[in-house]
Amino acid sequence: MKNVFRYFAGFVRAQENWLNKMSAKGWRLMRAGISTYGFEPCNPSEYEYRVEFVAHKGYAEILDYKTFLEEVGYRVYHKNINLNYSAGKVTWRPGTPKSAAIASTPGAYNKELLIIERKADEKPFELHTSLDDRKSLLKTVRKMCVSYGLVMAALSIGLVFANLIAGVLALTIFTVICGALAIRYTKMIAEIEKEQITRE
Amino acid sequence: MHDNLKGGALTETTFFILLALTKPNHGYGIMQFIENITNNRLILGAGTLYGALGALSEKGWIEQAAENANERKKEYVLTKAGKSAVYAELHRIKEVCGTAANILGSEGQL
Repeated sequence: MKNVFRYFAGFVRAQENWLNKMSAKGWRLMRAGISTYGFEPCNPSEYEYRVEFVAHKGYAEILDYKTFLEEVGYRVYHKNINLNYSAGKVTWRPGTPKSAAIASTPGAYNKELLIIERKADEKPFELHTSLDDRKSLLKTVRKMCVSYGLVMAALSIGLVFANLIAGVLALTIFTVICGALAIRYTKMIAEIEKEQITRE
Repeated sequence: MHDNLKGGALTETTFFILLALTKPNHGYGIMQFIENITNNRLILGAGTLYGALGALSEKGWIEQAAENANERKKEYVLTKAGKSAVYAELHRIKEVCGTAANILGSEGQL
């Protein structure tokens, strides 16, 4: 198995593009760890990948969704991107519905992304094909992004008291990244809403 | 976003999922049914389908079919309420077709 180190944080599209590029070069994903991926050879572009953010769902729902996707014929990997804050056995994930927010069971807070693989065919590979569905997903991701940004900003302000430069730097980085993403998602949502005036 | 709260129109996605479930069917079967019957015009994403099946179950329009020993995949089927909804939508569509044909005159002949 060929092991590659990569860390995409919450940048889902970048990870998706990279996996599809690897597939184009003849590498099929076999393992998705926190910061490493395992590949085995395959025919170039034999497989296609989509990456889906599922951190807002409870663990039971993620498992149910994974089973559903596998029954459709896809191969699904669960992946952790560490969006949690742990204190002892209790983990808090900002921006999620109550059931997912405080999770103290092992495995209940580990997996935030699903990597979905299918054998390539000529039809488009889209998991979400209705405007309402896409809008709903974007709103969820935006909410998590903003919540995460606010928490990290608060922590950075705390850091300022320990180390001014580090604190200000951290605050700037998180505000800029989360702010930029939130703005991008807002624009995408607005485009969908405009389209929905005339189409479903 | 829906223009008319009382219009009652179902989305195309919903309508075709309901049609696919006049007999018990599972996720992949529903996706294939819709692609075939619309000649690949409507390609339903698995994520959208998953969400729709959840919503339609909650509405009481579909339910899990009795376990089929040969079929290990989860299957769904229309409930009585779901069948009523489908017929109501068919009636609405026929009415809309009739209205449009009248307005467009001979050019609207289908």
